[in-house]
Amino acid sequence: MLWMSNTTEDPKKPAADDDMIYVEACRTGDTEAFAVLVERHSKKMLNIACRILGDYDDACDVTQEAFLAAFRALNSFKGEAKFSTWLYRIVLNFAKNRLKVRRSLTHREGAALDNVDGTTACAVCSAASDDTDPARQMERREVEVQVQKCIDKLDNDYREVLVLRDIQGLAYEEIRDVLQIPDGTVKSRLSRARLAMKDCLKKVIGDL
Amino acid sequence: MKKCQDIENLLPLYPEGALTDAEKRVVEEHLASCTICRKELAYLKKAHQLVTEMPEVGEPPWFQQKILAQVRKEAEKKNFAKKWFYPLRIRIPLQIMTTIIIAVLAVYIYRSGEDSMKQILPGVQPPAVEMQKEDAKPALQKVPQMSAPAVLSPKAALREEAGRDKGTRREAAGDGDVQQSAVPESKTQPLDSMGTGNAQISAEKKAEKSFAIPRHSGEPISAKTDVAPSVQAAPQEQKVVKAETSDREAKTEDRAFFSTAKKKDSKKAAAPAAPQSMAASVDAGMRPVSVTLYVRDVNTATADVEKMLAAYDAKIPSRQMGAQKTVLQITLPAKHGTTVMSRLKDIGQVHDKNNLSEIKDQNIMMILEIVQF
Repeated sequence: MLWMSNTTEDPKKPAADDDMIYVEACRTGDTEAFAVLVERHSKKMLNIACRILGDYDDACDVTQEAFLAAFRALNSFKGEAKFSTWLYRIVLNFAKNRLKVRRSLTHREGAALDNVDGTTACAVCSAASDDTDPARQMERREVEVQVQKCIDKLDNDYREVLVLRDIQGLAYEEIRDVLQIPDGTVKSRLSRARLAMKDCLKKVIGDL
Repeated sequence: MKKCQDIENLLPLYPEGALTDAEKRVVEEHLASCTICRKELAYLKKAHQLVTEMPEVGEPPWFQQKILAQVRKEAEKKNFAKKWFYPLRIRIPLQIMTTIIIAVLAVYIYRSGEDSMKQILPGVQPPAVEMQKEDAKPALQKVPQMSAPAVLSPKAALREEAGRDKGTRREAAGDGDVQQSAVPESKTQPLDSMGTGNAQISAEKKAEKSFAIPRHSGEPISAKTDVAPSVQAAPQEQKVVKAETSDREAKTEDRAFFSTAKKKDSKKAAAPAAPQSMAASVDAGMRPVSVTLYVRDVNTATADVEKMLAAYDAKIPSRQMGAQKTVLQITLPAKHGTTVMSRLKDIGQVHDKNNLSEIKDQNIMMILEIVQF
């Protein structure tokens, strides 16, 4: 089954213990050890931010802020969960704060957020597709835009679960640790998010 | 059999096997008989596929480098703060060192300011302890204003005293001559000899008494005996043959005087110097009158005296303020002399041997010592 593959762990993903070695090194003042952590997690954090925000530039800003905040608060990391989980929580919080600011600005200025084509911004830096046919590439790109629009329409609670599980492929336990919610809540939110996505995509794409 | 609504929330989780066995059985039973739910499941799978196929976004160029640059900047700030303020092993010694440096600087500034203070207030007398320590230092080097009376040898002072008794006013003008002749002697003398210099009054007399004691141990000491040595000394000075002998005598006398003076209380030793140093700046044409006023509170009495003096056109060219003693140099119109004396008696107990009415000058130069009981 296609989506079952998402549940398996990425073999390239570093083990938690590996992260802790570098975390400890950073705590003792070795700034260069943080470079390893950035190299390991920056892409995933950027992707989480990008799918939550739907805007590439905002996602880049938020990811940088999240790393800086993580470095400042490194001493407060107690190692109860994986370091990556801690980082994802930070970037998610920054992304949600950015969304709040953006919404309040939109509400104040009366401008429609629909005008902002976030998916386009994210698509600019998307990985190159294997498809060499330009027509199919265009069609694919259009679908991506529609999917991102549907994600943007989801409530924050559903959006973050969907992004973490279906796009980033995090395990249920990891999502529970990142969001700090019970397993049952993770499942129920994910179920509703998927149903909402199905309904939305049926509307925008037509017959799936 | 369950309705479609009952399995609606279970259906999205069914394909990935996230349901319990019981839930899974219920969903499978329902799907076997419901075409609508089978279609919905197909839509769900397709939607899920679209979501999972969303491509990964790549990092912009130098993205990681930018993050690391910010992190390094932050680390520098952190290290700087940590280096200077956080570890107690550095902070505490640093604070102690700073305190010591500030204290040393404060003392140094105070010390360096002392010389300039002496120049501003020429009459200020150095502490008695320092006077004893600086035996070997010639007075001329450090305090030029004070050195004028200091350079007088006891012998010269006695001669001047004798001259003054004769009623002439020559001594003031001849002061310089006396000083000049006395300089070679004084260079070898300790600073304590300052107490016997100049044509000064009661304080000098006290010094003269103590000075005279070893030499005239067999003789009765009275107020008039003050003059006796001067009478003896003057002819000795005039005779060239006995000049060296007299010098030697004078030095012996000085030594005897110093040994006696050092045994005395430091306060007492310092006391006579004040009016003398003040008298150094006294107008050459005026004869100073020394008056001692004993009061309970020196500061209050000083304020009262100054206020009172202002009412009688008196001028106070210099003053020396102390905790238990204040010395004022006063220039007073002679016509107010007796009135001022009576007013002083109202303020405190006056000790005065002078008769102000006898003074024929236009002004009276008064050295008023206000002393605490």
